[in-house]
Amino acid sequence: MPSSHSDTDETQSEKNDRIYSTIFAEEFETNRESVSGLSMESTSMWDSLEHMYLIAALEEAFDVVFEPEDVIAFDSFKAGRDILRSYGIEI
Amino acid sequence: MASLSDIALIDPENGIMHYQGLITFCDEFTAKVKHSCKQSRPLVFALCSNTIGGIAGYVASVHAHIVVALLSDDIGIEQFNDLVTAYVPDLIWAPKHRTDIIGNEIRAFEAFGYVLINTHLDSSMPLHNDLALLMTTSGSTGSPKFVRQSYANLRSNTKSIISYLDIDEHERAITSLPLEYVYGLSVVNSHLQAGASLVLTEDGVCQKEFWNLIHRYGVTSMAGVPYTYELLYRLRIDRMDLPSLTTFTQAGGHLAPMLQTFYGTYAQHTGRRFFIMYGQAEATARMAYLPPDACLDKIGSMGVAIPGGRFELIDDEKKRIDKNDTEGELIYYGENVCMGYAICRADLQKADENKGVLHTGDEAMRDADGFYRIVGRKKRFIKLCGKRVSLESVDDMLRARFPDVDCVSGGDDTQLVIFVASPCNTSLMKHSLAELLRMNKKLITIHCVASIPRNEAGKIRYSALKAFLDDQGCCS
Repeated sequence: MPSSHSDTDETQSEKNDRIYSTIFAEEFETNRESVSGLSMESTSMWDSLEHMYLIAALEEAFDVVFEPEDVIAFDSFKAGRDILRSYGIEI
Repeated sequence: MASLSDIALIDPENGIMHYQGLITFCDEFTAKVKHSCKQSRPLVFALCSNTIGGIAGYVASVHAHIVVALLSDDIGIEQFNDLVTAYVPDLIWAPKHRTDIIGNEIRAFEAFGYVLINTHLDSSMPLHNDLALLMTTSGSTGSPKFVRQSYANLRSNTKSIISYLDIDEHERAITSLPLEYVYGLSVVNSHLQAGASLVLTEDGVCQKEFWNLIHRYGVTSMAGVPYTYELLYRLRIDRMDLPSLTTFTQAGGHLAPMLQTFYGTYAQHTGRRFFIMYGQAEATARMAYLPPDACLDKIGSMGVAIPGGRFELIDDEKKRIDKNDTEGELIYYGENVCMGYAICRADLQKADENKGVLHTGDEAMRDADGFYRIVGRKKRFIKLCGKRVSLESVDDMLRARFPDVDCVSGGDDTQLVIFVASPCNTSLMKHSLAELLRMNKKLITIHCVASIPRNEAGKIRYSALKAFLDDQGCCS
């Protein structure tokens, strides 16, 4: 029987970090280690369609609703993390 | 009245150009063209961008009375070379970073990050004297087809647009659409002709800088395709503080009824104007508009013919339909109907083939008040994010890349759908198409079906495909 606890006993922050990175990794077809530098400016795949999809995916994963200013401010992996923190998400 | 000292173009990267500066640039450009080119009416390929270089290059070409073909500044080199082979341009106006296009050619002229080069290709084929502009309709599907627009087309449509949008010299539009699309170009033409001004940006509504510019320069209007207005809805535009932005226009496809209601209400409550419009490159840009006061009463309608234009509906026997609420093909009459198409240089000699009559290829109905609504399309194309995607071209791509797969393309203005009736690597197909068509994979769905509907003669029954879209089926 598999254990009911996670193997690595992640902290909430590590768990959120993993969820966040996984969303980016899947969207941009890369691995979680390579996502930290992704930004709207440097990533051609990050167009407006992708942008709205990312917002929707993050809103669902973290149960938040992005304010319009934050939708516009979210222009990189790092910026997104800061925004989530401002909504009280440990990440 | 506008004066030469008024601002024409505001480019955050390159500065401000007043009307006098634009005229001076046009004169200089014309002189350089004459100097470097032996033809009196050469053809120039201009790569577009919403920058001073991109816009001034277009304006100067028309001013110099040389024929200009507008292409995207990120056009693929193979597609570009195919167009060069087909049309044998005499000149190219390209941004400096396109070293793949500019090569080692001597630069006849350089300005605002752009370069003018002479191709030294020998085409002795003359261009028709009325011909002004060549616009693509097929985007990245690779077809070399251009729409031939005349000086009269441009003058007439620009004048009409200024009239119904009521554009005066106090207006300031932001370039929210690409210049190489007729809608984006019409914003530039109408504002410059009216002596108004333009704020130039390549950024979109999801970017901070777009909104910074609107605030900093007091932008009064923006244009968008249905997708833009979906984005703005999600950005909660009705809660944004936008004191200067009072006019919104929409074209490039059908706006969902929910959004028409949303924007009609927003405009009414805030004293703004929201214009739904209809057009195509074959009509220069615009054929119809919905007066803002009628927006909420006429959900689903794209309005009435523009000043100087006229609509008719015809039935399958090509007879005019006089009854209301009856479906027929929408025919448009006006001075803005293009001269015809071109697929090679020789076609540029042709005169006006349409003579002011355009079979739009759309099926429509007219109500008792004379307002029209589009109910279907005769030609096989969809409009994704405002861009035309030919389903015939997609089928060609599928045949070439996946010859063993029984499939056909379809879909609507929100999604390209590939119906597949034999085993295939759906993920590879989606990836290939996304790359070939230069579109986001999210716009493509692969729908597995038992078989592709065909008639006794073996021809695909395209209308039957629509029924599959309602099925659950297996989609990826």
